[in-house]
Amino acid sequence: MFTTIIINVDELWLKGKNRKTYSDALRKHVRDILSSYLETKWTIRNDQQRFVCDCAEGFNDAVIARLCDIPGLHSVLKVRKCEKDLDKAVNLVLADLKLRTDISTFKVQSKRVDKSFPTQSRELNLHFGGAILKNTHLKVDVHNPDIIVEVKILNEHIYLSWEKHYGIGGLPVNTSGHVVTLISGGFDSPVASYLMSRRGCKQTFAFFYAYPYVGEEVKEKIVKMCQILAKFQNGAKLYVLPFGNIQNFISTECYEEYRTLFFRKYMMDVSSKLADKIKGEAILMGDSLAQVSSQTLHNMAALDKSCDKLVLRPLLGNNKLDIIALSKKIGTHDTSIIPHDDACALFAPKHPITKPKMEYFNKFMEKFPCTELIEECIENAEVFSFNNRLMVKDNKFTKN
Amino acid sequence: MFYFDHAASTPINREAYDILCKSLELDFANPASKHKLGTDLSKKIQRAREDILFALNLTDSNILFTSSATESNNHVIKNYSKLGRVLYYKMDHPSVTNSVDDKGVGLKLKDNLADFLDDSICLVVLTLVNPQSGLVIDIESLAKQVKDFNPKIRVLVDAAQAIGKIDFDFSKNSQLFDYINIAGHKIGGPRGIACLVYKKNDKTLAPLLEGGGHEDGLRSSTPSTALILSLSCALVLAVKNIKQQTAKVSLQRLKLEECLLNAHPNISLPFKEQSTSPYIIAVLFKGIPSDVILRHLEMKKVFVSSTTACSSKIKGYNPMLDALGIEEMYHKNILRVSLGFSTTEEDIVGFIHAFNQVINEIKFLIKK
Repeated sequence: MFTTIIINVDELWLKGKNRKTYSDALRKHVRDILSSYLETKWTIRNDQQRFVCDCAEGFNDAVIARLCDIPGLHSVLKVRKCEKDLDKAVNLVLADLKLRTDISTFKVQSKRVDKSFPTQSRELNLHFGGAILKNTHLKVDVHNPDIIVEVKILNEHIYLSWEKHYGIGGLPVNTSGHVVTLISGGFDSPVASYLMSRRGCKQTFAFFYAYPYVGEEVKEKIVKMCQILAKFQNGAKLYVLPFGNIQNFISTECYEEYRTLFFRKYMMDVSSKLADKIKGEAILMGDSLAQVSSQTLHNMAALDKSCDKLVLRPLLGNNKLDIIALSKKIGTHDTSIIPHDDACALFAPKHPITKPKMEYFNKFMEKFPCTELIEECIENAEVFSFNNRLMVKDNKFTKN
Repeated sequence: MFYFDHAASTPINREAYDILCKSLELDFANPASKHKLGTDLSKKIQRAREDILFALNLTDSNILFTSSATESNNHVIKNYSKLGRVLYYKMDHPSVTNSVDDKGVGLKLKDNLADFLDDSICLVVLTLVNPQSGLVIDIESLAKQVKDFNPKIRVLVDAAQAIGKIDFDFSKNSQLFDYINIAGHKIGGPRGIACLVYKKNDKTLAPLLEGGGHEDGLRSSTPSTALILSLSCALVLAVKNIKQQTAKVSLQRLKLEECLLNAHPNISLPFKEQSTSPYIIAVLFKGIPSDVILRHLEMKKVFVSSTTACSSKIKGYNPMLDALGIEEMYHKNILRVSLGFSTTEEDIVGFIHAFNQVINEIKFLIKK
């Protein structure tokens, strides 16, 4: 087990004077993850815009994997730490590499951060490369090596590493505002959530629960889904909002072809109210342009005109297969494909509107603001909280 | 609360409950122990066995107590699967259809049993009352066909939905039925206990569980005296009251059927014209998934079933309904309303009121 890891921050080079804000946010997230997974004493310190973490018990693969889910984290290096003595450093590398029968080529990449160290980077490459060539079965391949041996001369130590795990990159959570994420059981909304987590958005998940039109198993599926999405957040909440009454009301009052559009309209109204409550700035949805009839440009334009919050739709330009491929990568695919009842299909009109008549749309909203039903929906929400171990902390009804 | 899912499980009756509680408290000893406390309990269990056989008029048979009708079905089917092929119906309970191995032969309701009999068949499973539709299957004539073809083929009857509910005399042609499966919690007994009636001279059954050799070596597990005594009490009562209960439930059923048929033109009772148990009504509502009706009724404290409880996770195509001859497009539209010994007039009124309300609330979902 490696007792030291180095964490590289992504996109920090793009930042100017606000660099510390981003670095601090990421450091906090790393600290929170390590606190919830490590039971023995550990330390974290800044070193040349990286974080160096030490733990006598070592960092196991599960912890490293969780760290790699942190938005804003570029990569985690498993490190052998050595005093500033080149012979000792070479011996440490050889001891490990001699045992690696699974690889055949290597490359050395040295970096002399401490410029007072007498050996320069190029010489370091030659020194380490020569020793590995002479003492192991490995051959050099500078273009496509099986492993890269990184040698870093830092102020106090030499760091040696040949195992690098890449994170999801982007910006640390909580540095780009707080959004309400509308989650359904499909492929799109979880992927949209992931993309905005990666851009530093703190998220509160909202699921519109159409009981009694759909059953308990849909809720269980959504909780499971949010458990996965919470990996990319530093703790998160899911609001299960009872939506059956509103759907019932809309269905009886509006033209059948407008049903789905108005469902979305009132979902956005509830989300906007929820955003006010949790001090969120925007609403996040998984729409992909014209994927289904409710996602036409005209429908989205009508909805956004009547919404008082910024609406984020990061998947607008993505094709379905791309979305599915990404869902596999982030681990939501297998949950998305669990079959479940779909209230939308149940209510779906035979000919859904794709180009709404704005006069009717506006009149309907004016006539039925549904203020009480919307309030009721939020007041009766069931709230689930996910901690950094992704456990559901509580799921009691909160009357707020 | 208005409970109409008695075919899944029915409340324990007062007498069986009292015996259960008393026995749980007092009969703590192990019936296999050699001391007096143990031997006394062993005698009590033996008496319960005899009471059940006497009630069924099958005193020439023996009884194996198991934990559930599912276990009993598995016990027989897994034993016979080693000897040859098992013939069963695809509309049977999953404890039959899922415990048969790949060699098994699954029939649909409309199939002619005789066409499928051959020398490789060693066991035929028949269900007296189909749990989904309530259909009463003519097991006597089917078993006769089997025995006429080859008397060595054994017949297992799943009577979980039938004992104490329809008047069927197993003793009349007892040589036709080698195994009869009875569940405690469908007849006012406790859950966790069932019994398998088998012939005294049976040599085929081998235990699924090895151990101390309880139940004549057929099922090692310390017998639960309390559950056995309670089951025996419930079964004896159910058989004793059958005429009076059937008369009551048949009337209640008529009222329910009338309400269901009048509630909406899309509602039909697909098995109404056939011989069915008065305790089970299968309802087809074209245009609205039965799960949606189930949950709307649940909100009004009325509890029904959308498919049999064990298979209700299945979405879309349902092999049981297919075997019963229901078109696939309607598999998600079948609701099961089942009555029990404890169903009252108030329950019927409550159901009718709630059902009509629900249909009014959701009829807009029907697509024209």
